[in-house]
Amino acid sequence: MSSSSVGGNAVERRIRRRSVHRSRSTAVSVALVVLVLVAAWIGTESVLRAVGAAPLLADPQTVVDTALRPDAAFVTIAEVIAVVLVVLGVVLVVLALKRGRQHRSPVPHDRGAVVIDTRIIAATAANAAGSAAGVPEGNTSASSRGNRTDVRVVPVSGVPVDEAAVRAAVTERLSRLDERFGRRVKVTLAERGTLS
Amino acid sequence: MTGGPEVAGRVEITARALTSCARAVAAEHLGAPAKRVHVGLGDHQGSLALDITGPIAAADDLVGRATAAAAEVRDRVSALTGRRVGSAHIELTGIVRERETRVA
Repeated sequence: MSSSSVGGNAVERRIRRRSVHRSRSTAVSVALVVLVLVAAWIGTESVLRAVGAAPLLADPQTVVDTALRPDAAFVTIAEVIAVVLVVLGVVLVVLALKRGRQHRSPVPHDRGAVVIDTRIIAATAANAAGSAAGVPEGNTSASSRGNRTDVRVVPVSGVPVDEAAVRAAVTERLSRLDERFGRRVKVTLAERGTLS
Repeated sequence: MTGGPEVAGRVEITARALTSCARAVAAEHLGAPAKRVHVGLGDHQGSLALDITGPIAAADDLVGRATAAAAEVRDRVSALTGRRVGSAHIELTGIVRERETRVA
């Protein structure tokens, strides 16, 4: 969706996608290291068994035999290990399937790939709302997520704030970044004002 | 309060300045020395709320005068500061005579 609305060549599209989405390399590395360790252990034990030397940790054959004819103590251990493995598996599946978007959005620009953080959008919205409502900088706050932006304004006592005008100003300012940011703007006015 | 469209920036009036202004106006309309008048500022549904405590100049109809003073103070403070004043609440603590004798 976002990559179709902003153009650019393949490299720029690739940079944009890599900036907006979180890398999965950490999870992949950890999983691979664990896999390598287990494989190395099984290999080592097999070689030791073939040579006839004493096992390093435990003989794989003994482990399998114990697992197939479980006693009471081993059942609890096996259950704990199973639960840990299930949790790890669920975490890995979630990491693999999640969209992994960062709090950033690509914006169209004639040169290069431009990606902006949602905090920038929120700060821009708060600034626009502050100057439109005529309140000090600290009286407005905003949060932005995806294409929707929520602005909260605490008015100054005795100075009426026009909610529609504030929304229009925020929409106008955000549309200058990219027209899709100004589509969903919500302005909330506080009931009580502050003195200054 | 925003400046004109040709001027960048904003005029801000501090709470302290508002209090001093309201205090002077209230003292003037009550006919009492400003030293003995105290004003608290608050918010009343987005408008300014004045809480005035002080003595009033001796008169026949004190309640009527105080009510009139509340309305006058409200309008005057609103005109001077450019803020909408929602309510002015006056609490009388005594009477001030012309000769400035102490009143118990």
